[in-house]
Amino acid sequence: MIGWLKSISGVLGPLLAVTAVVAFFALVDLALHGDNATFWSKQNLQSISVQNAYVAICALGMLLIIISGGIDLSAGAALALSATVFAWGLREDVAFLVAHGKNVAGAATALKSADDQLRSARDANDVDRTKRLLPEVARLRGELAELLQAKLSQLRSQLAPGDEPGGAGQRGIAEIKQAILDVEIENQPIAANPAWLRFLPNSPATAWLAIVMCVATGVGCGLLNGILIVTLRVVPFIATLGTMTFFLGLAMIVADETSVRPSALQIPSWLGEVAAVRPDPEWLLVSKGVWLALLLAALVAILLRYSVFGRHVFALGSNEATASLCGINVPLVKICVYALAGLLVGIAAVCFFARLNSGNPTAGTGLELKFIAAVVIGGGSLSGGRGTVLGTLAGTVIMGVIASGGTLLDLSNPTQYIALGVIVIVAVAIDQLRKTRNP
Amino acid sequence: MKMEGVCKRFGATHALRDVALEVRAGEILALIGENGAGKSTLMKILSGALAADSGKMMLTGHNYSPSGAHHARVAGVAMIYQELNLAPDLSVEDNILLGQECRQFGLLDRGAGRRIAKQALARLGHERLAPQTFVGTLSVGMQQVVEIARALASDAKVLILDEPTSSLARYDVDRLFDVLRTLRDNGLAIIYISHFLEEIRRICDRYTVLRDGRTIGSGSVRETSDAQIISMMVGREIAQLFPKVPHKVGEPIVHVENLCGRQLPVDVSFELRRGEILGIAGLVGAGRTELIRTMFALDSVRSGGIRIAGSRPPPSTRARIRAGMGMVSEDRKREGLALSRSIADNITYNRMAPYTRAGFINLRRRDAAAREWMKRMAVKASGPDQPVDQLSGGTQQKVAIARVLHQDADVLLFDEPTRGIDVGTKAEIYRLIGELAAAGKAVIFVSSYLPELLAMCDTLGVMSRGRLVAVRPVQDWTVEAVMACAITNDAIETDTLEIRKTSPPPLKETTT
Repeated sequence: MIGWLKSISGVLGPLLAVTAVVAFFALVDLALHGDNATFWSKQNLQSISVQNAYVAICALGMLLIIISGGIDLSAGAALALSATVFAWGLREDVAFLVAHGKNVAGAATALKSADDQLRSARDANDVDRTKRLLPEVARLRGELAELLQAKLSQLRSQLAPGDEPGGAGQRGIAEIKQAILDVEIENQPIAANPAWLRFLPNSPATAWLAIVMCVATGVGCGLLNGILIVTLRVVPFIATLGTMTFFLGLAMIVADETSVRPSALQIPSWLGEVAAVRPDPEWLLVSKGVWLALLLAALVAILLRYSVFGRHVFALGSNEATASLCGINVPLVKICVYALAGLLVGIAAVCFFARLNSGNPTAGTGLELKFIAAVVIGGGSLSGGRGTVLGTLAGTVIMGVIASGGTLLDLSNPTQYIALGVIVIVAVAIDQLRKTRNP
Repeated sequence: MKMEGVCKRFGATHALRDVALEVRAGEILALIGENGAGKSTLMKILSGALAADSGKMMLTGHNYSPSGAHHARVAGVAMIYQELNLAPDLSVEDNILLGQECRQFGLLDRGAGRRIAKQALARLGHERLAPQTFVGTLSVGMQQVVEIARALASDAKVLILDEPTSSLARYDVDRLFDVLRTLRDNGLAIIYISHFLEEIRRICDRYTVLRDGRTIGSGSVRETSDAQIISMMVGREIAQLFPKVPHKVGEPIVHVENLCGRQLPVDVSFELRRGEILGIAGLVGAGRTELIRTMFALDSVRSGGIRIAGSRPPPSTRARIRAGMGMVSEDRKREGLALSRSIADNITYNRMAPYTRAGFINLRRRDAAAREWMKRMAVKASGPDQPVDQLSGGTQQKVAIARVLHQDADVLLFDEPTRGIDVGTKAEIYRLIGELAAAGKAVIFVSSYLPELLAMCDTLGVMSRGRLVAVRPVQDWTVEAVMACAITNDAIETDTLEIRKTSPPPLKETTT
């Protein structure tokens, strides 16, 4: 009976906490705004859930790491790096880049700079240079025209038969046709950032390739963390503190120190659904991104509870010496934990990008603390060996609800931050109290 | 300094019962006793780290009951622990004055401090040691000098040294003894704790023997023979709490060949047969635990190797487990068990394969197996899901042992399997070890409690300073012989610590 109650309390505790926080905001909202109360509305709940889907996914990875007795301060930076790589992949039309060795934008830029040189040479009456540059510019013109031709046929094949004449597809075809003509005219100057670039859709495979790159980046970040921690025996806190700025720097290189913004046509429409507040088939209730997070949560929960690997992760966090004594391959388990967390960060990065529609290298700064807070609010112990998926989800929701509820109640940002800080400390204090009560 | 009727209890166990001790100014008193006799507890009470439950202590004729380590030091009692208590990143001077800094107008008075530090060092005959040197750069011997200087700087009247020579090379030991003699002649009272009789003969005037938390005897070192002291240390009657299970010794299964660890053990070779219980005795720090850990590949191997049933498993714990070796750690809390995890987890950590398919565990089948083992080991718990940290010490030990039984190992290494558990559970564990031998398993049984080794083992080996000094059938040993072997160094003339200092053998991982 007591055992049953205990196992139930493990499930009920987080749910009760979430219910309490949601009820609090709903009631206060109702009291303040009466009929205009919006907190307990379908749309608000949908928006809270979709805003926090990526937090939940990253927090799942953080949960694995924290259970194993580690910590990952680089998660936010790794998230931004992965999202930036994803954005770069979309903007650069990677599938086209791989297939043709060059993409349209790149070819246009190359032509533009060669053409500019040619013009300045001509203005300076530098006959030698002009002679040298002429064939080069002609070659680049031909190349760009070829690439545009490839795009044109791709766009034609993508065009649905019923597409109305004034639609984006038709317009794109017309623009590209005009562009090809312009490019092939020998003396026609090239615009710095030609308007027709916006009408170029990506190759169909680009989005998938970009996702693979994004997830691989996440896994790579995790692997690097794990390998550093295992081989150099740097404590996780320090190792990931180092990789945090390392990843930030990498992301800035990828983004050329700004942020990577693919054009609207380059972002696949289904990506919007991942981050849409209203799900496309209405019966889904919440956005597809949220379902993705829930699916991953279920997978992680199963992994932790029913797999040998999961047991080893708990053993490692509870007592590393025991894990060694039992012949568990401690270094391998550690590397796997960090790589798995990296995988989750990579997946979360897709959702993260879907919300922002741009890859900003600094967008992840400080987010790692949010992921850690989610795990800790959910009963995870920073000394390892303890933590649950359900608790982590609850921690994510509580933080999301406070942010959203605070905004609705016109609480200022500072107040929200303070409330969040108090919640983290109270959650951990309650946990400590519970531990000392029944040792 | 005088103590009378001092008692201390930890839970149900009496650590000290009615202990009396007296040390006079200008003498060195040897405090002798087996591991666990209560020496450390007594000294902790004396130095204020613990409070006595009852009893009286007098210091220079006044009542003395320290409320903490600082109070004891102010009163003039200074303790030097086996593990030195120094801040390695501070200078010699800062370490000497730590906690008793000279102040003037609320600021540090460096000049006065340096004078005191220099004075203390001079009294020890080390006036040439620069007070600005960082302690971390000094040798262990010199660090000890700094500790003693700190005690002098606090104007100590009673100086307690706990096993001060355990980490010293022979040359440093000689210097330490010179220092101690000087201090004695200056009128300090010194309590010297050591296992080594030869050291006690060299330096101490009187002795007090402690056994099972009681004072057994005191007297002049010169007028007492080694044999008398040893029999006072161990003279315990072996009760019938050792259930005998008849078992037959079979063919050899483990061969250890010239095994050397990073520091300990040193060049250990022996053979272990099926159905044999091999006891390993020795003092704390003799390298018994290190021998077992090296055999189990938890510590790295410097040279030499091990054969199990003819094969040479690679030096990883995983491979040793696969080769049929199992180990129960001496430290349940820090190594033996994942305390926050369930009983079932702890029992099955090293062998989940029977319940696993494609990396996923059938929890119901595993719990059923765990329940089976709990029943067989009489583990008292609410169920296999109960976290181990909610169990009593003896029950925890049963879980730790259940793990190697569940592993179905052929060679079992038990490191202090009965430490800190009650008599009833001890008897259960003895019976179990006998049964394991009867089932044809080979057992190594490390213990600091000699009676259990003499009662349980077929063969007994004694380790001293990293070496396995002698292995003989148990009937050829007496308690006195074991003690003599463990605390005198006749068997080995070379000091291993000095060897390490002068010619470190090349460090290489051997693929054994």
